[in-house]
Amino acid sequence: MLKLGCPACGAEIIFKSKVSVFGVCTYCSSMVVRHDLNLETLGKMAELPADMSPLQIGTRGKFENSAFEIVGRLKVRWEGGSWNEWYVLFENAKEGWLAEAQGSFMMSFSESNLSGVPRRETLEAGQTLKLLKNLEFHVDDIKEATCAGSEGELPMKCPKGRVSTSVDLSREGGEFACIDYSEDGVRLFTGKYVDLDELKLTGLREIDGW
Amino acid sequence: MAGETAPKAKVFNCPLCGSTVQIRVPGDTISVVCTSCKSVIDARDENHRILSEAASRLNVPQVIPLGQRGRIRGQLWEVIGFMTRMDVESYFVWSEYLLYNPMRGYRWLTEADGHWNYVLPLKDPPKNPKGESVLHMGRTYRLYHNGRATVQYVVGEFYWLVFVGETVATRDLICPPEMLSIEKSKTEITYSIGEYLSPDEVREGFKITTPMPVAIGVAPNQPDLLAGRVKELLKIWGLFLIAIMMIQFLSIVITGEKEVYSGGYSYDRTDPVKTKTSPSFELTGGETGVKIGLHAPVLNHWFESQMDLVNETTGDVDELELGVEYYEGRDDEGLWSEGSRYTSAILPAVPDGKYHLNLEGSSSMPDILYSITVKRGAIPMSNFLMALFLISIFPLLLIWRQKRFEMARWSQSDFSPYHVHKDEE
Repeated sequence: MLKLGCPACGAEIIFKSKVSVFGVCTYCSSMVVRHDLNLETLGKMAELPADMSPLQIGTRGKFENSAFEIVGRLKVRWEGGSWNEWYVLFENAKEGWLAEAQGSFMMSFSESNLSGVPRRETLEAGQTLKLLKNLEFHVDDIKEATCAGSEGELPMKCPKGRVSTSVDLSREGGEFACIDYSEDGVRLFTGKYVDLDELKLTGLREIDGW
Repeated sequence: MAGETAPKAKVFNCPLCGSTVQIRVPGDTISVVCTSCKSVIDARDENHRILSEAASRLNVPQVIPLGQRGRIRGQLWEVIGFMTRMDVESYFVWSEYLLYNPMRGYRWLTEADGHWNYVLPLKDPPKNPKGESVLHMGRTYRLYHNGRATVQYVVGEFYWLVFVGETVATRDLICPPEMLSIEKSKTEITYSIGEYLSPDEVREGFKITTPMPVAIGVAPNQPDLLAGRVKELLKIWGLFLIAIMMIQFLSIVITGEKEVYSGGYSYDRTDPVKTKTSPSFELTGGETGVKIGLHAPVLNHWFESQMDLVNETTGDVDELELGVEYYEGRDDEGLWSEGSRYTSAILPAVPDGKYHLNLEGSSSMPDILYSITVKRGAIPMSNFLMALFLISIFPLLLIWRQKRFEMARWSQSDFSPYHVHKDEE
C-alpha cells in the first residue's frame, strides 16, 4: 500500500495496488496520475452518474476461494447504455475486473498473451477468433465506449471522456473475453459470469428497500 | 467510503404533459414511458427528450401495478415496466412485466390466456438454434410457434429503447415446464428461457387481491402434473398384473384338477328318452370349481348337450350347455380344418356333496356316441379376466387423459405431432 498526498488539497490518496497509476481524490475529486512517488493532477472528476449498483469501493468478497476488495471503478457509456468496470485487488496481489451490466456480473482477468488479437480495423461482429492457446471465441459485438467517470484507483489513465473500443466475445460454456482498444494500446481479458450470491460480498452499498 | 448518498429513484416532470415521471433504475434505464401521456422519454438525456408520442393515452389494465414488489421462487423483484405484445398473424395478445432486482438484474413475467411464465434472459445461448428441435443444457426443445411480435402498449422503464410498433421475429420451442424463446430484430438476436408458473404462485408472490385472469386451455409449456403420477401408477399397475397372473398360476398348480367321473353316452334322434342321467359321483375337497368336458367324434357336423349338475342333497341345479363342431376339407391351398371335437366349461365354487348330471343332447347327425368328464378343483378363467379388467380401467383412463392433455397443449401449434397437416382456411 502506498499513501501519497493529493497535490491539490493535501489529503491522503491511497494506492492499494502497485500497478495503479490513476486515482481520484476522495476529498477534492482531483484526478491524479502517479509517476512513481510523484502525483500529477489532471483537473477535477465530475460526479459519477447515478445508478443502482449494489457495489462500491471497499466492498469485499471471494472469488474461487481468493478474497478480493474493490478499489476502483470505471463507468463506461456507449450508444445503448452504460456499464461499470469495478477494479478488484486480490489478497495475492492479483488484479481483476468485475464488470456489471444490467444486473449481470462478470469477473475477468487481464491476459498477457495477445496472439490472435486482430487489429481494430479488421475486426467484425460474427467473426470467430482463435485466442490464447487456440481457443475459439465468437465476436458478439463491438461497442464504441466513452469513460463517463471514475473513482478510486485504476491501473490506467481514465479521465472522463476517454474513448475506447470494447469488443465482447463468447465461448461455449459461458466463458467470455473482452478486447479493449484505446490510445494506451490493446488489452485482452477473459473471464466468466458470476452470481453475486457466490461472491459472498460484504460492505455492499445499501439500496433503499432491497 | 466516497461519501456517496444511497441510490434512489430519479424523478422529473414529463416534458410533454408535465406529470411526474419516475426512474426506478437510474443508470440502466434507457427509455421511460410517462404513465400519464404514454410518451416515450429518453432516460439518458438530461433534458428528457421525447422519443415518441403515444397515439392513445388509454390505460391497458395490469394485473400487477408498476412499483409493486413480490417474490417469485423465493427471489424479490420489483415491477418496473409493462407492455402488451401481439402476434401479427394470429392477433394473439399477451402481457409482459419487466422485473428488476439490483443484485440479480432483469427478469420477465409474462401472462398469456391466464397462464404465467417466469422468464430469464439467456447469457449462454444454444449452439445450434435453428431447426425444429434445439438442444440446450441437455434438454431438447421442440418448435411450437414461429411468429412476429409487435409492441402494442408500453408503460414504465426499460433497459433499451422501446417504442410501440417495434416488431421482432419470434421462435418458441418447448420442453415443459420450460419454453425457449428466440427473438430476432434487425440488430440483434436474444434468447430467453421461460418457466411455467401456476397462477397461484404469481398471486401469492405479488399479493394480488384483484381477480387473476382465468387460465384458458393448456399452455404450450404447462407441465402435466399428473404425468409423473401416471408413471408411478403404471408401475403399480404392472406389479398388480404380475401379481394376479402369479395368483392364477399358483392356484392352478396348487389346487390341481382331479377326475371324479367319466362316462360314455349314446345319442339317437329317434330315442324316446331324451334325458340321460349319469351315475352319482362325490365332490370333495372344499368349494372349488368343477370342470365339465364334452367330447364327440363329429366330422362336418355338430353336437351339443344341455347339462344340469344336480346336487342330490339340496336339489340345487347348475345349468350349462356345451357344444362341439368340427369341419375339414380341401381347397386350392390344401387341407383345412375348423372347430374342435372337445370342449369344456367351468362351474365356479361348487360345494361338496353328492351329484349327478342330467344330459340332453341334440345334433346335426341322426346318432352319435359322446363322452363326458367331470373334474374337481378347476380354477375358472373368468375371475382372472374380471380382475384384469378392473385393475386396468383406471390406468387406461389416465393414459387417455394424458394424451388428451398433450393434444390440447399442441392444439395452437403449427408443429403439432398429433396432426399431419393443418386446415388451410
